[in-house]
Amino acid sequence: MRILVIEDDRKIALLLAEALGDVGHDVTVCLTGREGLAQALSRSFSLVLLDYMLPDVDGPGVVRAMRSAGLDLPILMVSARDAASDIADGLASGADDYLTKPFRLDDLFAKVGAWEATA
Amino acid sequence: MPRRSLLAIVVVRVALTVAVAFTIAAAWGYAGMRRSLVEDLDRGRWESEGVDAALDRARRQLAIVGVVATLAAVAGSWLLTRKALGSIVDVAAQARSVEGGTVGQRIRVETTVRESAELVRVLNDLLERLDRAFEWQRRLIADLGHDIRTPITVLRAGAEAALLRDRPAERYREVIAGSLEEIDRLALISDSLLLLARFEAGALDPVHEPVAVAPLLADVVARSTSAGGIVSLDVPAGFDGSAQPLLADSRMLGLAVEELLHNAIAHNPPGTPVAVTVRGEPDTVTFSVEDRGRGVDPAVLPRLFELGFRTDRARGRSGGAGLGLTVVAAVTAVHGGRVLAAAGPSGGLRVSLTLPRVPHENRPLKPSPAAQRAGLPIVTPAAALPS
Repeated sequence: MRILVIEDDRKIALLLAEALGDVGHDVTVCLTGREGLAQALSRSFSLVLLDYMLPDVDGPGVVRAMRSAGLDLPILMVSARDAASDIADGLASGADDYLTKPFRLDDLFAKVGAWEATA
Repeated sequence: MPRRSLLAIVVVRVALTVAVAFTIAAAWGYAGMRRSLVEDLDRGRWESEGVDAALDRARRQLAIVGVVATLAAVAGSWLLTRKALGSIVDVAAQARSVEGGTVGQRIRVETTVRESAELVRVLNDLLERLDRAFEWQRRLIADLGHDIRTPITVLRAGAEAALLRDRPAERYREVIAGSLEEIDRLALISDSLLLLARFEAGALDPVHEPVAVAPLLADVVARSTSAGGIVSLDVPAGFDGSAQPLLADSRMLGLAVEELLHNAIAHNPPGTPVAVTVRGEPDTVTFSVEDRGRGVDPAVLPRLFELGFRTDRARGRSGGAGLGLTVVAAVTAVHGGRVLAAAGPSGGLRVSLTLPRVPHENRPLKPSPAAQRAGLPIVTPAAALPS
């Protein structure tokens, strides 16, 4: 599956790319919201892993921009913000699922696998 | 102490006042009437029996009027006071219904009684301040949670990813080195939280010892740059050999400089260095940390040292609950120094921390928690520094 990871923490981004790559996915990493949006609009992806807090446009802003541009690919928001209001905001912006940090890789793989099964 | 109803107190006091006033007036009137009758009797205008009967009649009438007037005063004051206090009863009922943890609640009582309206205003002002404090606390906890969860994520995901399959030894070394950096991040957060907790409790007492400035800064810079930041360190040659060394708490000073560096590196453009300089004056030592980021709006500079305050440039970034500069201000305050934030020549933020070489007996007062939340002083009293 082609996965776009938008995550401003370089270490987390590279770890996600490494782990998802190890289980057979093709991963592209972007460190800012704008860069991620540009990638999503220019290339075809099966899933987006999106951080909530980004230095330029926040996660919900990126989701809204993608939806406005007509992208209906699944978006999994991954964030250290675990307040109910943050999760609600993330999902209300148009994200399909939410995973709070710190997470177990098995949980991430399970969610990615679920989206892969519906693709 | 036993508590009594305000309504009962007012009614009893009004009734007593009326009764006493009436008794005095009646006694004075009765005495005058009796004196007049006795004079008339002496002049032969009255029979003595007629005078006694008139006085008895007057006493009875005065007693009846007194009782009726007192009862009327009780009833009247009860009705009027109850109406006046009704709004206070409403205020108390609404105040009781305010629930903890729910923001935006206000007391809404329409009243024409000035004192009651003032009470409503004071209580609503209090609720607004509590709302702000609650919101501040909620945001600080959320930001702290984020700051703590991010390194834990790296530690967990790094270890799990490393174990997914066999990897070269070099990769394991990278994972371990990366884990140590995240442990340093967590240690910095916990050290800062502990320091601030002690400061709020008024229990942050520095140990004044000669500080070897150059090694201290080199150590902090090495720790701060392990994650990839670039720092240019400028310590004058022979700085630590001066006749009057800096007497300060080296652990606290190291933490303050590390927080400044952490903050500066986070806002510095990649590939450009953060400048750390130290300058000595006869009585003071000044540490400056300057980034080349996009600076801070001058309007918010005075708020930079508030606990939990984050500038627009910090919002949306990973990390930064707004502890760092408050730690710097606290360390400066307990050393009797001063800290100043200003725009640097490159447009970034420069924070300068000046400490007296020798601690003063009359150190500035430690801000109370409330004062700290309202905004730590950027500059401690000038008197704390040698002129």
